[in-house]
Amino acid sequence: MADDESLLTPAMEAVIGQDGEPADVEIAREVVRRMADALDEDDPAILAAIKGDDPRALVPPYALITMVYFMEQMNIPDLPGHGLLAADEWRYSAPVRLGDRLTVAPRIADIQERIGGRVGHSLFVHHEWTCTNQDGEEVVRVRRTIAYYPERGDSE
Amino acid sequence: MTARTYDAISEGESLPTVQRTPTNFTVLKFIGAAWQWGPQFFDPQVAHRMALEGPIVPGPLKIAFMEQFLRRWLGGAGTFRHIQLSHRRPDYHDAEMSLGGAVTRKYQEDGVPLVDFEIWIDNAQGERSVRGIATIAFD
Repeated sequence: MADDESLLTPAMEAVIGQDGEPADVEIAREVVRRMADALDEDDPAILAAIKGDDPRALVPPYALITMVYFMEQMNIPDLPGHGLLAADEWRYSAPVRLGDRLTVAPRIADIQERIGGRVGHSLFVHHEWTCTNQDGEEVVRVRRTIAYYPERGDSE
Repeated sequence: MTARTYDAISEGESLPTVQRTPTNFTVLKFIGAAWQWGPQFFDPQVAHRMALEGPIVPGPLKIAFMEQFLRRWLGGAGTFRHIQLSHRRPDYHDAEMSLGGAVTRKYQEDGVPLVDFEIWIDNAQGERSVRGIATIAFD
């Protein structure tokens, strides 16, 4: 592929602004506990919340990272090579508790082409997820930008 | 851990730098908890094909580190309103990362005291791998 050839295809442009299928996920004590272990959490208050008896204990925002598996990256046709995370933005609007049941709604906010920069000619895909709890209250809105660029050897 | 009050925070104040060195084991535990098995996080061959020097530290792990960094400095005070990280270059397993930050603004919005931070991660070569901002509410 010539370097000046656009990576952005009509099929990609067609998915900009599309919503995906929502997914449901629970903020489960055991998974949050594993996350805290991975982070070497040493805050006594947080450890008490995670290991205590309160099934609805308040937990830190990183508990929401346990749901990223359910933050489906909607299928986009024709993407080149692999993607690397370029930016992440989390806007919190309500506290997170153990046992929260969240509905995660995905959307492709935008796709932009970039020439130059660290990864060279690439596509920047902006995903958005809105997560609401069992009471219909928005808990967090996540915007993630992933840079897609041709894999090493793709043009050889 | 003493909770830091809004009044005790000053604009322009720097947060003491904290070092973290995520090992291969740290990353595996994290991607296991988050169920994010991107091969670039553990497979050197895949990382090389992606023009990376080796398996990388996942971006969401760096978000979690920055949250911990701020929360520890705040002594557990305040609640997160917003955090945004721009990943400028990859961080690799077993490489020391220096987490830093500074208070950029104190203000009130709808009667809620807020503090904005500039936050960053520098790699062992002194290069800034992550730039970001965060807002904490004292409500």
